[in-house]
Amino acid sequence: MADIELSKEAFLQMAVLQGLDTTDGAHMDVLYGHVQEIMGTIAVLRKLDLGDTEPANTFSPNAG
Amino acid sequence: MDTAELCFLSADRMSQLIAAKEVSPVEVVQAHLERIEATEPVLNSFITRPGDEALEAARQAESEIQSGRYRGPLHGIPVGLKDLYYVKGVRNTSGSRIYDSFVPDYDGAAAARLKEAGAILMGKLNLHQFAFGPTGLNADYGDMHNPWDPTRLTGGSSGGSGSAAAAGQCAITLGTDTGGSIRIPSALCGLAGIKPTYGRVSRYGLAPLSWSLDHPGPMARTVEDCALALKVLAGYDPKDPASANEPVPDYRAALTGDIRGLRIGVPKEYFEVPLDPQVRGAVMDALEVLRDLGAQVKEVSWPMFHDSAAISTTIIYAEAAAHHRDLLLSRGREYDPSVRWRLEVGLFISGADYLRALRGRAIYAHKAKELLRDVDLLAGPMEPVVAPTIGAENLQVDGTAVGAIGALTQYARPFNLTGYPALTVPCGFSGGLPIGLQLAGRPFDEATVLNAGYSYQQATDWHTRRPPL
Repeated sequence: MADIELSKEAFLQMAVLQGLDTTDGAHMDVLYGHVQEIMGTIAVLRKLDLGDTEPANTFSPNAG
Repeated sequence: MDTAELCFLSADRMSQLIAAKEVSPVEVVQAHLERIEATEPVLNSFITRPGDEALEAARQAESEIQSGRYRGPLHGIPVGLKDLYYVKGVRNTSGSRIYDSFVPDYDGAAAARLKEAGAILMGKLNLHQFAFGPTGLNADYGDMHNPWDPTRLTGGSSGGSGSAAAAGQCAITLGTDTGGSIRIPSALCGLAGIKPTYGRVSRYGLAPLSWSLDHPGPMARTVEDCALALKVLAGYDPKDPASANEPVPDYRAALTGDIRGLRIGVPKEYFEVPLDPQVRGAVMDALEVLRDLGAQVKEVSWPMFHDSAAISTTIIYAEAAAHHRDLLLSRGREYDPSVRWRLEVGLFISGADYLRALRGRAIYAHKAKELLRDVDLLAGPMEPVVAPTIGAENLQVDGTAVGAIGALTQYARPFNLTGYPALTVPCGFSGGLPIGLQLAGRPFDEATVLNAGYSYQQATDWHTRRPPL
């Protein structure tokens, strides 16, 4: 499904950078599978033709 | 009046009896407390059951009404809140033991408005942990059970709100909807439930899941009751930065039952994904009813429907991870494992991809707006299946294996992305389990959406059936 390759080694490095506790090997194996799935989702997202559309966000200078 | 009869009256009818002083709020609340006592061991709808304060509030309502100070149609009506809505002095767990003893010291907007309207707050309702899941499972406070068959899912995340309203434990309940969490349990439990337009109902005092996709709203057994509740909940609130300063119509008065000439589009893409044949048949029959009522029903095309999963998943995961990050890093092992990994996955989404999803969302909403120039409403199935068995992670839908989470959210999430109002109403049963019809409309046009649902309910009796519990 994914055409964004993420090696287990790169995944673990990113997990450490995010501050995740990587000592539970079984949990990290499960998480790695799910992260690969989301990479598949993001691959779909990257194929959308977005032209010059700006992001929809809720910022308002009048808020606050 | 028999206790069970009282609990299954619509709030609309209950309020007429209360206003006429034929039934007192104390009788109403006592009947619901008895109903909760009898059914809660099976359903597990509540995290915090209503206590003495509910009866005390009912006595106060009774006193006010007796002395001529009737506040309106929610005065004395039992309303349950999902355990994400802050109520001053009542613990708010968000479905996690991490917050087991968190007690807000202020009322959120919904609680404040309901109290002002004289509604009786009936405890806090169970949910999928942190509202992050569509099934209604909860490892910390126990799974929710569907009143139509307790071996089945309620749907989620507002599962307790679904079971409580369907089983007559509350007349009206509040849910929140980030990817379908009002409409999914409403459909699976046989209720009407409306996700209002984004910005229509204040999120102030509501524990967030995904800031840009969270929608608070009501669930009830009838469309009229959703209309009554929405009138109280809707309106500008400067405490919510996304709140919209739009006029709020009288939704109950807008229920004329006349939909002659209403243009209803049915996206053909709804039928290009796995869909149970019985559900499809019930939805087709419902469209025929709408046509008989004078609506012009036609097929339309919405090709971007299929892109909603990629866009909404990216936004929800990234925003939820951003909100939870600190707690997740310090107390991750205390989360439900299935919620924990979903939140951790969000940490791997880059800022660039999140913004890409927001750009996709802008196009998605634009396409939906174009579609709703040619028609007034979009209609179709709410769920591809009836309530699945508790514990089912994968489903067989018309011979195709699909993941439960993706299937349950497939028809819901497009309207979280657009922010447009969307209502589900029961439109049939299969194997004794309810089927939902979804009706969605233009931004801030909840009145048209509700009136179409009301017209349908006037012509059918699916909403009058009671679960066997």
